[in-house]
Amino acid sequence: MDRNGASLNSFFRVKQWAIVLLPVSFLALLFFLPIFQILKEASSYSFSPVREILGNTRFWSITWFTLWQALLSTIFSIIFAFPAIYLFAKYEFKGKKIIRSLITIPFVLPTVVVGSAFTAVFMKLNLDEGSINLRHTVWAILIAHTFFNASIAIRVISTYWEGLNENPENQARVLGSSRISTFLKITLPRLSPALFSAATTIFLFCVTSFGIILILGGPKNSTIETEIWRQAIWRGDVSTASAFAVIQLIFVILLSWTLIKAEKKTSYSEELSRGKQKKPRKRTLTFHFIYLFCLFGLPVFALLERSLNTGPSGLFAFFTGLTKRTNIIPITPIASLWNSMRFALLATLIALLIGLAASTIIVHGNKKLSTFLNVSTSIPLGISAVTIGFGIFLSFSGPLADLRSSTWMIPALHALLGVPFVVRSVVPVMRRIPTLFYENSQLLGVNPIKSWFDIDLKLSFRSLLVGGGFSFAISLGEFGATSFLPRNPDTLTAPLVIYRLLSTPGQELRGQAMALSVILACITALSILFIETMRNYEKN
Amino acid sequence: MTRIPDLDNASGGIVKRYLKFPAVIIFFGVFACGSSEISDKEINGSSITLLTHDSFAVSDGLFDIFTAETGITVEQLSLGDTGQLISSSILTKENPLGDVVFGIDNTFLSRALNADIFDPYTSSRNSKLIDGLSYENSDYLTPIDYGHVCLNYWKSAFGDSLPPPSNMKDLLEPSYASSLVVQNPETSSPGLAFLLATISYFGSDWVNFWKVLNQNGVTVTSDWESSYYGDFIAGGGEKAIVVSYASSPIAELIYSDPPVEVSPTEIIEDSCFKQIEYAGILKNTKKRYEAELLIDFLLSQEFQEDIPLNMFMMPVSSEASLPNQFENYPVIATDLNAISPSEIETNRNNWTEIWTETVLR
Repeated sequence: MDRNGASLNSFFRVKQWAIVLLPVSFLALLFFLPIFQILKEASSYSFSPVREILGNTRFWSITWFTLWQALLSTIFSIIFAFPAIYLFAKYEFKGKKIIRSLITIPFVLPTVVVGSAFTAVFMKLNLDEGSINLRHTVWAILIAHTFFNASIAIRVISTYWEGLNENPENQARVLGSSRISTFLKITLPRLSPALFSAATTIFLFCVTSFGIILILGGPKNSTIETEIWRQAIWRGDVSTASAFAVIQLIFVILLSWTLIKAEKKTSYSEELSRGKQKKPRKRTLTFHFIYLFCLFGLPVFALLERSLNTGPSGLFAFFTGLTKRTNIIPITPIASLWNSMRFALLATLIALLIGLAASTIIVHGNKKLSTFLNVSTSIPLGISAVTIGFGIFLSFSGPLADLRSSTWMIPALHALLGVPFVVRSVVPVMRRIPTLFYENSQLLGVNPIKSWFDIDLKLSFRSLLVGGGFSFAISLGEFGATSFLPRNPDTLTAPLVIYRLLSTPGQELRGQAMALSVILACITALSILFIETMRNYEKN
Repeated sequence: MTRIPDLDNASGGIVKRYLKFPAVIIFFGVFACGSSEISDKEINGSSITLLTHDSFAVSDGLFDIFTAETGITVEQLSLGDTGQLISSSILTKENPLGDVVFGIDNTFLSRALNADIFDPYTSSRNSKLIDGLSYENSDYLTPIDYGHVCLNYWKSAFGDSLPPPSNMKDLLEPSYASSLVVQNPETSSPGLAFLLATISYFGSDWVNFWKVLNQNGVTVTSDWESSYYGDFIAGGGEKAIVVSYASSPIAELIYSDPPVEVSPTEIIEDSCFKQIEYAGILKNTKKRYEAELLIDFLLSQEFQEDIPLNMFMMPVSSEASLPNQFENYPVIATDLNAISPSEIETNRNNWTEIWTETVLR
């Protein structure tokens, strides 16, 4: 809906330059500038690298595969998340916060670890040979993508749903509508802004999925993302890689634009009264717990099992070993955890700041600027890590050259991936705030900045925390864009150390890699739990 | 509240918006200068940056020896795997990320040389190198360490009824091929090395060798981790033969848990491909002299003796003594399965494409 006329809008339109400068300069440096260099690379010799790959049938099959696996993964993630979405939105029960934090764990687990966990699960369930062979198939990719991304759908959609009152549903039921048709005709359309918002993030995430495609998809499945990497790193063919990057950019812009438009179109404002939350029956709760365990538990369980030492050195020997430095890695694994946490904290603060400024403009700013920011804050998620990494190498020269190896680049790039999560959680909620609120506060003569704090910030605070939680988790687990930047041995992050531990044979190293993954997962869950408790702020 | 005119509806809003870009860049330029002062890299003349791949590791304080001798401090930056290290170095040729690069191996050496990113340098310590390290244009890069990619097998999986394979031709037997796991040479460095070994070993017959392996059910993964820790017995898998390194059995012994007396794995010598890692001075460095001193240090006895237990590679200096765990490192003929770097560079993409057609399609 059109929000013109609200006093806050006119205020933000005048002041928007000051606010816009923050997200735009951030994106300009870390995203537009590098992308522009890659475009320049691809446009060499009147776009001959692009024209060359367009004429290649293999290219079209790769592009087609990339898009359909991402779309199908998105649909699967949302559908399989639905029982859990319902649980968190409609029920109040003991341990809800803890379980809500636990489901974020898959998100930070390094793909190399999850990949081997899935391989182990397939092996145990006998799904790796014979009549049902999931190994190196698209099914393995879809299952893993659902495992990784269902938590996005759960958190974004259930948080939105919690804020919907049940009046329309109750009226429909009184008028004789069945539960199913009430859900399909009333609840689902009311949820659609959040649905589209979550879908955008998951889709972009699956387009740039790298480890899962490579490890679980096996050597026969390739996507634009793995192809860019293969061309740039293995073949040293930067112009073909750039051509692929351009195609990826075009598809990502088009598809996220469509999804974001759908999100905006289905948005409407309404009175924000919290929906009622019932206490679930024991049977319902048991069913949901079993379901959640099936969705998220199996690979995590396999990981836990591997982190324990069954030998004579003691059950937790791999954990205690983390405090010692092994020869092959420059720092102790524990020190790498500390690095990861510092970077994640910094990245989250940057992402919240940039994301909040961008969301405010997206909701209140003028139409063109709103669309521009809405699309451009999200697409970095869907752009190849190689593109951003090499783009930075190509474009940062002169005074910017030292920035390439600056420690600041790590949290800054993590924040670039965190911003979309903040924006995609906050925007649908901010859009729902009735215009009346702003008009009333104007009538009462409230200062616009204060009314922004009291209305926008307070009412979207929960979703802001959801976005912040994801930024934190994504930074803790990130192994993409930052792996293309030069790094100092002292600033190695935990995912990098896990990867290094796994690159030399030996059960001790492997056990330590698993133990470090378990700790990383626990830290994530605890941090999210901490963020969850801050949700109470809103009630005051 | 005073009403303020809505400036954004005025025409040219978008144009103005884009005009702010240069301002943004200047803003960040200032930020960049600020941050470089904090890390004070360039200002101090006596520091040098060493670019490496991710597997680079040294003992604590090893570079302090260099600093004590020369007054130069060493900044280390790692940049992913070998392929990424080379691609990045080529991309940043004009404006290098560091001064010395370590970790270019013979499978990618010619790509780096063709891109003309290095300055020639011959260290005075070159005379102390072991034999069999020379190649075309060897005045550009200095060998620092070497190792081998070899087939490894899980010893207890074989016995009297089925002895372990003793050479590459044995793999043509269906029972061996079906228990073999290799890596895609288009995405994995040991995978590429093993493909090169088969090409050198079988000559023009190499495609047939892979055809038979494929028919007999060889398993292919994208990366080393998935094959070693996914399919190979070491990680709980079922495959008894894997493409790994000659030093892997030593690592299995050192990092065994619970501790074992003998390694559970063994290599098949006949299948080995030698990898030599080189260091070079980047062309556009402003610290040519310091860079030469650092290359010399990489060949020093202290550094060379530090290599085996930290990087699981072998020293190139004939003066370096080996830690006892490495004393049994296999002695492999220098010319076994050898292919020159320039031949690899000329044919690499063609070979991997034929391999992909044969094994994956």
